Amino acid sequence: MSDPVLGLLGFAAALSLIAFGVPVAISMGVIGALGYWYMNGWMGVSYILGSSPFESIFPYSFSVIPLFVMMGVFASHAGLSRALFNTINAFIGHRKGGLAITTVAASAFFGAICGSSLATVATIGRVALPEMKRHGYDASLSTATVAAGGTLGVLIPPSILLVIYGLLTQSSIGQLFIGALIPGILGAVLYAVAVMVRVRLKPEIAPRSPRQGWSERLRNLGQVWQVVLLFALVIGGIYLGWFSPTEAAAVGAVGAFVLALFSQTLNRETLKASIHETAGLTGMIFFILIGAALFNFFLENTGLPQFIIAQIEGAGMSPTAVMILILVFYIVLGCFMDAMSMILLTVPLLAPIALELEFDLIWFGIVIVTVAEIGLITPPIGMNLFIVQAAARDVPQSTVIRGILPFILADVVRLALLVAFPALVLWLPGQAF
Amino acid sequence: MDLGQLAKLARGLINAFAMLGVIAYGAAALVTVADIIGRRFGLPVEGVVDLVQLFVVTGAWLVLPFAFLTAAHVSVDFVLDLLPHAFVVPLKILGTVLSLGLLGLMLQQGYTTFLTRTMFGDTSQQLGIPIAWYWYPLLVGMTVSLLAVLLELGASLKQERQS
Amino acid sequence: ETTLKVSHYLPAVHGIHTDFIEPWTQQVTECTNGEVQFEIFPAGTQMGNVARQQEQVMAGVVDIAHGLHGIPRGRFPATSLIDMPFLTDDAGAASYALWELFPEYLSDEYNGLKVLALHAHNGGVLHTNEKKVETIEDMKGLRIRTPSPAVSEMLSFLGADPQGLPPGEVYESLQRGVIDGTVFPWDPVKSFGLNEVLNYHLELGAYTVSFFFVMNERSYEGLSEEAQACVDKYSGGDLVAKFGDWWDMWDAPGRQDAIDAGHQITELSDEQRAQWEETLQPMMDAYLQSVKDAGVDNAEEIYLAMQDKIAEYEAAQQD
Ligand code: NA
Ligand code: NA
Repeated sequence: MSDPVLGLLGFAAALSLIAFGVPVAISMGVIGALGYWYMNGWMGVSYILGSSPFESIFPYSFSVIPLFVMMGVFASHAGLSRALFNTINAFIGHRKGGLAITTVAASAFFGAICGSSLATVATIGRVALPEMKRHGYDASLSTATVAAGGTLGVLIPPSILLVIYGLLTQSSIGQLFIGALIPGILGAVLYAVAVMVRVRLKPEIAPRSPRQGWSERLRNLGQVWQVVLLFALVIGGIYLGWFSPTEAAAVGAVGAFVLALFSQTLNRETLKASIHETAGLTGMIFFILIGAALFNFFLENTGLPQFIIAQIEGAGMSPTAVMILILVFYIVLGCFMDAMSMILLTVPLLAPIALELEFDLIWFGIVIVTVAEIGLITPPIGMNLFIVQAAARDVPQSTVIRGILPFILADVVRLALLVAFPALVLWLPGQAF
Repeated sequence: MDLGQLAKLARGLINAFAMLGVIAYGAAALVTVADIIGRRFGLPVEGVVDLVQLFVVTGAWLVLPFAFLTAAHVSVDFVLDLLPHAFVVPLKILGTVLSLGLLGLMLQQGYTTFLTRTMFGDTSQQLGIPIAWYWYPLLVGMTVSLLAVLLELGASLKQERQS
Repeated sequence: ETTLKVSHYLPAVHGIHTDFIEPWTQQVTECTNGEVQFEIFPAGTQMGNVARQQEQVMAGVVDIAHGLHGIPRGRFPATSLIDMPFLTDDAGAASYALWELFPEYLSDEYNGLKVLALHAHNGGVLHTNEKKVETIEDMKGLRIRTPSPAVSEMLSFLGADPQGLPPGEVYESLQRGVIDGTVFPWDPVKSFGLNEVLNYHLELGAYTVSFFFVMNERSYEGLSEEAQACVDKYSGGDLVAKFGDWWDMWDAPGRQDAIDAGHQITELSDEQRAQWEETLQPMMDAYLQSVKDAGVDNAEEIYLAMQDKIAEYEAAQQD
């Protein structure tokens, strides 16, 4: 049996376990370990079993995960989220799908700051899901909006994936950041359009709230000063150079805790609930990282991604056809892998092909990161789908997956636009440099 | 002491770990904020990155048993819902066995890696904190997680029988 | 036919990969008439973790690895004496000294490993964004990213505030003003795109950082005698001798970019270097003592031998 075939079998095996209800992290970890054992013997697998759990949690940059989760949990228990949503609802709640569009905007905004898709979904989900539920939104719309919204921040700068792409291809990180702005905003706009279209087709999934008068709106505005303060501190601090985006998570967590203290909603019960929520959610995210690491050890060893790229390269097609094939490859791969692993694994192989076909590397990078982030919401293995489901325990997976399709479609439209009109990416960096 | 009391004790321990873990996250946040404020006045926290890593690693491993106990980890249920009810319990046990097997092997091999790295005298980059301090939470967290997986199986089997 | 796994922690576009490791594997494959093939795992793969290179090759997960002596800290205390400030700013000299000292002084640190080469990069440069640094006084209070304990101690001693950040976070930290500068050779300035967020460069030549290229002993012994001879042929002294020119070549584009961007590059005069070195003397004594405390009883002897070998190399260069 050739190694790439073994890789395919590994995928199939992991998916079967997942389908039969074995936790995702355990399925990926078990198949990864077994596959690696088969290929490299006991010595090899014992080494990765012993070291990768430690390595998967150790990096300093991962500190944003628990700290932004804490920020979200405390902000929610301080009543901040509710105040924010009431206010936005007062302004646009009477429009079709108003709260879902608000969620998209809030996700883009928050994701831009924190750069971690997982943390964005966890934080915004904690805030937005109960509010949409309270306003009678259909679960397939609300959960999918949160899951999809989480991907927006991956591209909008600062973006960890773009930094990594820049390092791998030696292209300018500054230009990548500027080039990502329009495609990032375009993504948010298309998501909002997806919400509006869906609501127009099925108005009952997003009941309109009654239109509120200006006195009501202003009264609500007076209650969100705390949220404004917290966001201004977190974002303003990053842009003024007071702290790095990684450190911003700590500022957000401490700030939210202080606000919760002053809001007088913090008692024994809410404190206990906050601790349990933080513990459950972060424990789960970290364990998925461990399972994914084991699986990627195995996958990398099979050479499956390299094999597929070699096939694409060898087919002798036009540049546009190659680009479309690469995108299809990423979307399929993204069904099973997380964005970071995909970029790290494939960009070193794809960059030479891109250069040969005379693609602009800035444009190529933005398109690749865009398509990689789609992987976060494509079933069966989409990290954001899992996390939103962990935040909304009563919603079955099939409901989330049903709701996500319009957003995937919106992303495909965005990709098509970026491929057809490279100026969407390249115009802004051209103005700046 | 009977099995029920033991289980209750174990739950108490896991809950306490979760609380300690979140407090460790809090410590990571506080030490970062102290550094951000302190460095404005020339009083930075020395080795803040080492400390943040230590607190986050400690938090992550201490909350893990809680995530297993409350089955907070995600799984897919749409195929399971289509299967006859008789399959539910065997599949549940399969999941538990795989979890225990994976965690057990990770713990055993992790212990070996721990011995190697402490033998080498590895330390953190800035403050030179012995690497063992970054490993104790992993060893403790994984051990208690094994317990949590069993408790969770017990609880969900009990629920099955009642339904 | 045998396939050997080679891992390192640099991106596949770095000179270490394109000029050194990839051609090296091709040479050995050709020499063995295809008997020995290679599979390379660079940064970004699961095998590409900078802190795990030595361990992976010892565990036999890979057969050959290229890594940094200083990460994790403290595994090669004797070899890491080459990191001492102001020993040399020349990659060729430092690499030569390491290889000359290896059999007598350093080999104990490589049990279970077949050492194919040791090398070190050119003298590090102090890069800053807002503040121009020319004298020791200018260093006061600056937040500087540091690569190793020796450099951290040097910066603290000079009144700066060392920060241990991963290389990947340097760009953003500089852009946001979270740090004021970084010490790096020129090569990563290019590969991390740092010239966009820097303005001043002080060519201190104050320190170097060293690397190993090692093979698992069992993997080596498992090869046929002909294949072993091929590995030997392309390793050792001949390979080590190439690093001086390689590092010059890898550093050149970063420096050229800075010149093209109109940055100010300052070089320390010999007198200034001597002055910095004198100021740092107490710190260097303390550092030697700490290496001794870590179990390298003959730390001073090794340090002096390194100085001798470097002088020997420099003298030979001038002939
Ligand atoms: Na971002
Ligand atoms: Na996916």
